[in-house]
Amino acid sequence: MDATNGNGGASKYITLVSKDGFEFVVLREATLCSDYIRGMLRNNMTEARTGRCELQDINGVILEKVVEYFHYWYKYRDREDVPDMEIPVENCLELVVAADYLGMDNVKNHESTLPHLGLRSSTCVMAVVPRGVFVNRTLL
Amino acid sequence: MSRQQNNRAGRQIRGPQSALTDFLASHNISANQIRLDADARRRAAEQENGASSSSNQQQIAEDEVGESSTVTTSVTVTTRTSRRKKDQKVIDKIKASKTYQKRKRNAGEDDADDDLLDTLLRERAPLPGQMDNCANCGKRFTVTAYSRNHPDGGLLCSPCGKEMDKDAPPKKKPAKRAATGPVGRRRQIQSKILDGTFQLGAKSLMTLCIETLAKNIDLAEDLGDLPQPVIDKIARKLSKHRLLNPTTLSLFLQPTADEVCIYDGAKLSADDYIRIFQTVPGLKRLKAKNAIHFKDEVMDFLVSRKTELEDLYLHGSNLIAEEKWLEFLQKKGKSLQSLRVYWTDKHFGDSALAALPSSCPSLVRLKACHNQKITGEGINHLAQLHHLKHLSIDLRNHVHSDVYVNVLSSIGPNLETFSITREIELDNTVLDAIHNHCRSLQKLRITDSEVMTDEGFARLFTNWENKCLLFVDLQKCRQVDSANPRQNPDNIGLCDRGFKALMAHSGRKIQHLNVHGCRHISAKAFEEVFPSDGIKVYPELKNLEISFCEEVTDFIVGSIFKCCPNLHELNVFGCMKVKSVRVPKGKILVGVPNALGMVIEGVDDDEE
Repeated sequence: MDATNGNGGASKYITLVSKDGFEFVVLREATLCSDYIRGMLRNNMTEARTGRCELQDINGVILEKVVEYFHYWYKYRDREDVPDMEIPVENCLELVVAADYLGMDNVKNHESTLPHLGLRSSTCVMAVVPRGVFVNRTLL
Repeated sequence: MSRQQNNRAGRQIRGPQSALTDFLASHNISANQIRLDADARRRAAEQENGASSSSNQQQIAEDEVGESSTVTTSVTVTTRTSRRKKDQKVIDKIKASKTYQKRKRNAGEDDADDDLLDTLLRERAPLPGQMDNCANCGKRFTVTAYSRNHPDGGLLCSPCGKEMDKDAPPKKKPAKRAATGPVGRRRQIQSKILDGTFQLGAKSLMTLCIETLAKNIDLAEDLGDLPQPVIDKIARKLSKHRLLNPTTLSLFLQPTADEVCIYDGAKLSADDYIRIFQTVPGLKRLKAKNAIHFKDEVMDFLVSRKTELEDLYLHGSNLIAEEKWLEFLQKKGKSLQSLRVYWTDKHFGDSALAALPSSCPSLVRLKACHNQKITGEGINHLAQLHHLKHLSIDLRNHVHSDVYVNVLSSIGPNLETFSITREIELDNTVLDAIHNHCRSLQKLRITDSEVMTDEGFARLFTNWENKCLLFVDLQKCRQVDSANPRQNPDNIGLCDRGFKALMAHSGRKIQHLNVHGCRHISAKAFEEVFPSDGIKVYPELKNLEISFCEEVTDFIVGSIFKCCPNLHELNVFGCMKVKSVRVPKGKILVGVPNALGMVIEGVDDDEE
C-alpha cells in the first residue's frame, strides 16, 4: 500500500520507508512535528510529490516507534494534560539519535505547523486569525 | 464429639457442599480426615526435629564434629519434601481426573475447590511464630508472616528468601497514574505554568527519550556519538534528579569534547574534577555548579596542564584560596574570555579583579554573583578591561555610585550587558553615565535602588543614542518609607515618566520587561503605554512582569494582551485590582488572586 496519489497533489497520507525496507503509512499532518520531514514535504521536493520519504539512517524498529510518536503527538496536539508516551529503555539511545536526526527536539505547536500543510483557508481559519486580539467584555 | 458425628455421617450431603468434598466423600475420603492426618504428621515431624536439635546441642556441648547433626536435618528435610511432593502428586491427580473436572463444571464453582485444595496443602505449613525448616538450606528458623514460599512447597528462611527475591525478576511496578480528577489535573498544569514548562500538546520525542534515559542511567555504559546539545540536555536532566555522581560523570567526559557542563557537582570529589582535565585535554568551556570540591588541588592540577580554558563558570567553589585564584589568572588568564564566579563568598576578591586587566586581556564576559569580598577598589580595576562586553555584579558590600560612573565612562561604549543588583544607594549619576557612554547596550538590569528618581530614568531613555534594549529589569526601584508608603513626593524610583520614556525608546524591540514592585507607575501611564485600542504594538515582547504594580486593573491587563501579540507570560502577583480577566488562548497569566487558584491559562477562543 502506497500513499501516493496519481495527480501529484497532497494526499492525506505519506509513506515513510526505513533503512531495512519497512514502510509506514502515516497521516501527513502528524509528521509535521519533525523539521526534517516537514522540509522534505515542501512544495517542489520529490518527496512532496510522491508522498514517499526514504529515511536511510533509521531502521524499522526505531521508525515504528517514531511513527507511534507521530500519532501520539497528533492525537494530543491541543490538549493540556498529556500522558507520557512509553519509551522502550533498550531503544532509548537510538531513539535519541533518530529524534535529533529528524529535528524533533523542540516542541512544535500544532498551529505553527499548519501553514506548511497547504490547507484551504476555510479549513484553517481558526489558526490564521491572530490569537492576541482580545476585547474586554467585562467593561462593555 | 462433633468430628465423630461428622465421620459417622459419611456420605450424606448436608447443606452446601463443594464438588471436591462430594467427590472425595464418594471415594470414602474425608477432608476432615486428611486434615487430622496432616496435623498428626506435622506433630510427629516436629517431635523428630526437636529431638534432632536437642541432640545437636548435646553434640556441640560435647565438642564433637557436627557432621552427624547436619546429616540428620538433611534427612528430615528430604523426607519432608518427598512427602510434600507425594501429596502434591495426589492432589494433581485428583484435579486432573475426569470425574473431578466434570463435577467442577457441573457445580459451576471455579475457584472454591481449588481454594479447598490449597487450604488442605497450606494447613500443614506452620503458623507465624512457629519453627520450621527452610525448604532450601534446611536450617531451622522462626516462621513469620513475611516468610517466602519455596516454588516446590515449604517455606524459606529469611536469607534464602532474600536470595530468591534477588534471582526473581523485579516485579513491574504499576505505572504511576497521572493525577486525575479536575483538581489534580489543574494543580499539575498550574505547577507546570509556574515552572515555566507549560505547553499545549505532547512533549517532544527528544524530551521523552531523555526522561527515560535519565530514569535508567545506571544501565547506560556509553552515550555514544550524540551531538553536544543532546548530551547537554541529558546532563541537565540528570542533575535535576541529583543523579550526577562519579559514575555517571564518566558518560559526559568524551576525550574529543571541548565543553563540559556539570549542573550539580555536589556529589563529585576533587579527584573527579581532576579527572575531567585528564580525560578531556582539549577542554575550552567548563561550567560547574555546586562545585564545592573544586578546590586548591584541582586548581593546581589545572594550572599544571596544557588546557587553555576560554570560559570558566564556577558556582559555590568556596574552597579555592585567593592565591590559587591569582595563580590561575596569571598562568591561564591569557585565553580566558569569560569568567563567571557565583557564591564564592570569601576568596574571590579585589586582588583577583586587580589581576584581571594584566592577566586576562581578552576577557569579554565577567560575572561575580553573591560575593562578599569584592569592594569598590576592585570594581575600579574593571575600567581597564577594554574588551569587556558583559558585566554583571551582585555584591554584598556597598560600592559608591562614583565607582560605577568611572567604570562606565571607560568601558561603557562596548558594553552589551550591564547588570547591577541589590545596590540600594545607586543614584542618578549612574543612569546619566549610562546615557552618556553606552551605545551598544542590549540588556540592562538595575534592581532595588531606593535613590534613583523618575527624573533620572526619564533622562536616561530620552534621546539616548543607544539601540533598543532587548532586556530590561528595573524591579524594586521604588521609594521605601514605611511611615508614608503611598506618598512619593520626590518621585523616587521608576514612575510614570520613566516608564513611558523606556517604552518609547525600546518598545519596538524589547523582549523581556520586569518592573516588579515599581508601584508608583500610575494606571494612567499604563493606559498610555498600552492603549486599549491597540494602536501601540510591542511585537517582540514575550515576558512581562508587573507584579505589585498596584494600579494595574482588569482593563489594563486586557489592553496589554491587545498591544503585545507575541506575549507569552504576564505576571500580576499582588495586583489586587486584577479580578476576572479573560485570557486569550495560548497566553499565560500568572498570579491572579481568585478562587480558581493563582494561575489562569487562557483558553478563551473568542475572536472579535
